[in-house]
Amino acid sequence: MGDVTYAALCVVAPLAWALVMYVVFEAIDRKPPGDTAPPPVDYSI
Amino acid sequence: MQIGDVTVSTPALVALGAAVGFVGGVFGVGGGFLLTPLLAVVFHVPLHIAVGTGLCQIVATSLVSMLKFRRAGLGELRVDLGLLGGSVLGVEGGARALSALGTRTVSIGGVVAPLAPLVLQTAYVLMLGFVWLSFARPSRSGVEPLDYLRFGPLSRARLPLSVRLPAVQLPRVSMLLIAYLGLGLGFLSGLLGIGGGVVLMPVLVHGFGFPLRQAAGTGLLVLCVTAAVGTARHAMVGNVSLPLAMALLAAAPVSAMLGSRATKRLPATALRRGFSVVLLLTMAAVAWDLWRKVR
Repeated sequence: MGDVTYAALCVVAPLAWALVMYVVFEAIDRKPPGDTAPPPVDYSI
Repeated sequence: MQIGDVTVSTPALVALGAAVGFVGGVFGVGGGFLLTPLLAVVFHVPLHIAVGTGLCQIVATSLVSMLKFRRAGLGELRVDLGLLGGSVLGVEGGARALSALGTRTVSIGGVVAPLAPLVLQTAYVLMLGFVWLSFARPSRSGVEPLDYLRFGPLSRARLPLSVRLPAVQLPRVSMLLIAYLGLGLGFLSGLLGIGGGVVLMPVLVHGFGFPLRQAAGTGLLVLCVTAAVGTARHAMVGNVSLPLAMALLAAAPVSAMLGSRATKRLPATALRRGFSVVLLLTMAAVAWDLWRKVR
């Protein structure tokens, strides 16, 4: 690989990688539809 | 043991590997910042072999440390994955830079000296000094800041592609920043024969605000992969000595395991002070050798 190609790759590849990681982590963090929190526990006597 | 033109004591190399493994295990770093300069300065191993073989040793110590830290539930895997894309690419750049420096010489006061050792040793001194200044010196307030999470300037910055870091409970950290940070760390790794953990730790603690133990457990995956890629790259140009690597690795995994076990028991103040002493001693040894070369 030539120096110019390598330099171009150094600029573009981390950007693309960051985008992929962002999409993956956002998808993991997003709750699936219908997955709601459990109802609060009633501690009253 | 014969390495190039130099004869080195094998038991001394095994002891060095064990000591570096222990330090790496305690502080969650590969130990290359100690190993590579010490091989070159104390044992007089040719610098390009010290760099290539140092990376080989980091693969083992960082792998053992990573397994221990993961088992203890320490470290943020999302940062590791974000760093990987840049670091694997950066290590190639570092190795290219080292090859380019390899054949050049410089004249200082009428004495012609090879450029690579001067540049690399200056870089080691600057790097160790930066780490000491930013991390190991005592806090001005007298309060030990390393036990708890803060919001460092890099985690407050509004940058694109920000994600949540659940393990350290930081709400928004930019993956873009982390990927380019990985590129820089990879470059240092390929050029200096270090894993990059010693530079990453202050960035995580002071830049992002990670607690020390979480910072120690973060970056070990990327260290291991980057060092493996760097070792392969340096092995292709004959910079890795297998007997030297085997001597260094003989006791390193066990001592790295003992070191990472010790991390959970030692208070943050003791960790910081111990790290400070190790950094200063290594910096003094490299600076002294550099001074002798340019005098």
